[in-house]
Amino acid sequence: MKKTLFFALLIASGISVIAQNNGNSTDQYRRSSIYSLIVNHTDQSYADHIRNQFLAIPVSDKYNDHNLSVRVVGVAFKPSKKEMDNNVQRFVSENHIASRLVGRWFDRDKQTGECNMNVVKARGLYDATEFDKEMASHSTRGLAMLQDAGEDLIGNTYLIVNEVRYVDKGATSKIVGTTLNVLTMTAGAVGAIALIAAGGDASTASDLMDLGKNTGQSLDDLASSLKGFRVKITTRLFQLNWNDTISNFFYSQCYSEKPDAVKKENFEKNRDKFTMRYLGKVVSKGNKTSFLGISEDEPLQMIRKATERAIDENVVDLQRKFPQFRVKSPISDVVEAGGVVVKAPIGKKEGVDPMHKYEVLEVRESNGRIEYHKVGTVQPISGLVWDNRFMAHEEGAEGADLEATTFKVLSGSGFYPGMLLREL
Amino acid sequence: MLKRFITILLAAGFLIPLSAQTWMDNYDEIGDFCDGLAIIRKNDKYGYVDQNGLEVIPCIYDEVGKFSEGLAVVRNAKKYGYVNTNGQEVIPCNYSAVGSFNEQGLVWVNSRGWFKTGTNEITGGKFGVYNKDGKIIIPIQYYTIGVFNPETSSDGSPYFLLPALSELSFQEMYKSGKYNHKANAMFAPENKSDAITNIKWIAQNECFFDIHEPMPLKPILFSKLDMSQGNYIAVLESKYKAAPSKHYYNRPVYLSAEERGKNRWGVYSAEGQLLLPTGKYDIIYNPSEGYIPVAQLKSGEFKVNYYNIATQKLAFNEWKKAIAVSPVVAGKAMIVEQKATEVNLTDLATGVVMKTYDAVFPSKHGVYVVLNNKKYGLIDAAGNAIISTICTSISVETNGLLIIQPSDIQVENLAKLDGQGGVTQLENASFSSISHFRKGRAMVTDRVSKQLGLINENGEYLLQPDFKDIIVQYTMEDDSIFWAMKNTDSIYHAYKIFSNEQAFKNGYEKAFAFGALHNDVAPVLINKLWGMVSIKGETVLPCEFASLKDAENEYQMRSRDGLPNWRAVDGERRIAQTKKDMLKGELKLSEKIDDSHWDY
Repeated sequence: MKKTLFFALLIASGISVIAQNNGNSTDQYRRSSIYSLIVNHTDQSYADHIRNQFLAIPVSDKYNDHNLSVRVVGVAFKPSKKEMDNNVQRFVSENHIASRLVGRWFDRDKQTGECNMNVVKARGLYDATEFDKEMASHSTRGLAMLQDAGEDLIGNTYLIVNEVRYVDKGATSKIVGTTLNVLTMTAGAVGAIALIAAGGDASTASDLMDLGKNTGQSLDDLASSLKGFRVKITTRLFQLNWNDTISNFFYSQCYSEKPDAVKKENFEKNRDKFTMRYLGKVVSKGNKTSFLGISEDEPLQMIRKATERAIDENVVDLQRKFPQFRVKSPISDVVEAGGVVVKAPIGKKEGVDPMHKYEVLEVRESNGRIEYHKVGTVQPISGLVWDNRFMAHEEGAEGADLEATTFKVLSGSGFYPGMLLREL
Repeated sequence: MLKRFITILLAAGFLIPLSAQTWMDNYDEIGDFCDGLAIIRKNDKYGYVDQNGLEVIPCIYDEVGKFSEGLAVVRNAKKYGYVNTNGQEVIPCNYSAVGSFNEQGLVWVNSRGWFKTGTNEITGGKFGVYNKDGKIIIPIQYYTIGVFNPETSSDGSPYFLLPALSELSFQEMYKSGKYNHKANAMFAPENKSDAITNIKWIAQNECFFDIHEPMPLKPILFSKLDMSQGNYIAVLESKYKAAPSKHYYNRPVYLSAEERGKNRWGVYSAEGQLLLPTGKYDIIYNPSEGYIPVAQLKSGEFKVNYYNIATQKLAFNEWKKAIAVSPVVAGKAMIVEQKATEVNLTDLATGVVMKTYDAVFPSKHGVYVVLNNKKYGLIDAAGNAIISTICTSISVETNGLLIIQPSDIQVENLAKLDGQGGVTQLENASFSSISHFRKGRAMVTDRVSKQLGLINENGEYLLQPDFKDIIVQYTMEDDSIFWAMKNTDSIYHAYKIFSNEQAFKNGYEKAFAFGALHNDVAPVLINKLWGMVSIKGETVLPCEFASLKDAENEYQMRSRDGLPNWRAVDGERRIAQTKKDMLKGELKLSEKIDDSHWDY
């Protein structure tokens, strides 16, 4: 956290500014952590492909990857919206997802109960040696760091449950159905398609061609049937509950850095103490996604494109609805060019829009606690919004070549890279 | 903390005895003594005291540095300056940023600039240069200052490519889809992005011409002016047209010839003498032997000349149409004609063209490979022949070694320049083929066994020729171990150099070099599944990932989360993550999922 100057400064306590004038500051900032789950309607067309494409979507670099092993669950009937809400909430509580997210925070070994603070240290950007020292000495600063880690890190863990429904195009459904039958009949092919979806070996493309041959369907037909592919996604948002009561219980009764049968048992028996708070849901518009940029040899990319874009859209809506879920992004550049502008590596994927405003936050560390201080306001400049959505480049979208969005300054000054932007 | 400091300083003999410590009580903190002065702090302001406790510089600064050679940098509010040991502001605290003094005793300053990118780089405002006496050597009036490319060496340099080649060719490429480089290389980029990538690749790899305009100093706070390549400083007076704001910010476009043509560089000596005023020429390059290569954009064409610093006149009466020029060596310069079908070695004093070649390939070692009538030779910068143009091929490696195929017989010899205008072949360094050197290593085919081996820059085997394949990559961090495959093998093993011993037992169907992608690990493939292994052969990730991308994602995620190498618990988690019923979507929302499916 020190300034990278060659001054012989002697102050080692008090307020210091984080990440000021640090060459790597644009990557080093605290993120929320996210677990993303899909609820797949197995009775619908393309269910397998939707599932596979969802699994291929990487975690956005704006979040920490907090995924658990279970990423896909199916539902084979058509519940009402209320039923679905209840089903999802029941799933979350019955499967003790909250406790598992906590387990992940502490790299907990299910077999032995061993935990450690590696993930907390890494995601909290703590100096590992300093952190260990403060913990070992039970200092006031150490306690403050733990509380801070709880509020700013562990408490900012979210679960998003994406319920995906394919929107049938009607006229082409027969072709789709035929193709689907062929694919599901050939068990090995499922794996091959998954590989294609995940950008695997080119040789698997020929597997797909062969499948097409068996039905008299060409790759062109499959591509044709996927054009105009649409999905409608309902995304439900949960937040991990983490407060003093829960953290005290965990640290005193469950946390151990060595195998401890008693603490292991305490955790297992008390998984119910860890809970998720349901915040709300949003539904995507289900708009048609352009086939532009999709190679005819990889038509299944269409499913990935439609799915990923719909999920991104929902995440943005959830951020607007629930401020605590809003993503922060670092300023990567400050330029004087007829007035000061700032740049940040966020774009349309994160819902950046010239109509919205962003607050500029300076990150400060004070006696072990991280504080965010608003120092200004900026707004994206029309025509200079980065289009970083999946396959924006391939479809030749405007702004796809930009590597950051440019913002004009509405208020404030003294900005520098490493400061964070957050939508207002 | 203060008391601990005092104790340390006492023990080190830096402090005066206990009885005279009363002056220390006046300050919140006291630092080490340097050049006889120690930094002091009082109420968040800094100053200096001498060994007698006399406040030489009062506590008025927000930040101060240690004294070095009688000067220390100081900051007052947002302004920087330098003070001497008498407390005088040799460079007044008026500047938004300052550099550090270089070996020539010069420091750059910036007035009214702004910190730009994340490494304390200043932009905007005006730049100038001070010396240690506080004299302004270069007036503080320039848009930026620069140093000549530090890669340029005094014993000869690559050609200086005029931007026209990249610019016109770029436009030609983009519009017509064809690119003609050296009149014999054609390719058609598919789109604009492709075109940008290709020209950059050519400039970096295939193209022997470097764009060597003065490099604007990257004025990072406290950086130095690197004048190691010559006692010259370039200054720039920008006359950019103010473009409409919509188009100005970070558009992903290369510099246009027109924009470059509006640059106005000048040159100062280290003593502050203006050698070449600004406003005369569009392009200038590294001065050499009292000349500065210059170029002008006229009617869409670049023309070149040489500016004589002493006479302040140009070498040629008529500007020459060219695409590249060389520095001056022994009074001579190479000028590459517009169509790159001729390269003329010209005497600057007389303007006489001494020799013409079909092609010239400069190197960074003061020698040039030349082509005439499909045969290659080697000349020095003055045009004297080192190797006659009779060879089938000659390559001058970046490390200065030569790979020479003297005739059509498939034999390549390794040689080096002897520094006296000749070439010495290395002993026992003759092979069927020699690859380019990477980090001092090259792959060779043994003339007798036709097996592959690895040699060092002396032509000695690091890996004996016992292999049918060796993996050598540019970005290797550790080069004591190489993946190689013997004739009798179908997989790659890791071999130690010098001994040809296997570094560890496991072998793989495919592997990337250690450090090629990530730190000191190597991605490896077995049974069509990817994993990662450390240089000691430890499993960092087991080979369980369907694609390299998956393995890399897992590795990056684990690195970001500070997780150690793969452990038994990670194996169990992986089992949970790859349960077939989950991957096939057979788990139900309505059910409580068995604990074995969960990794935590």
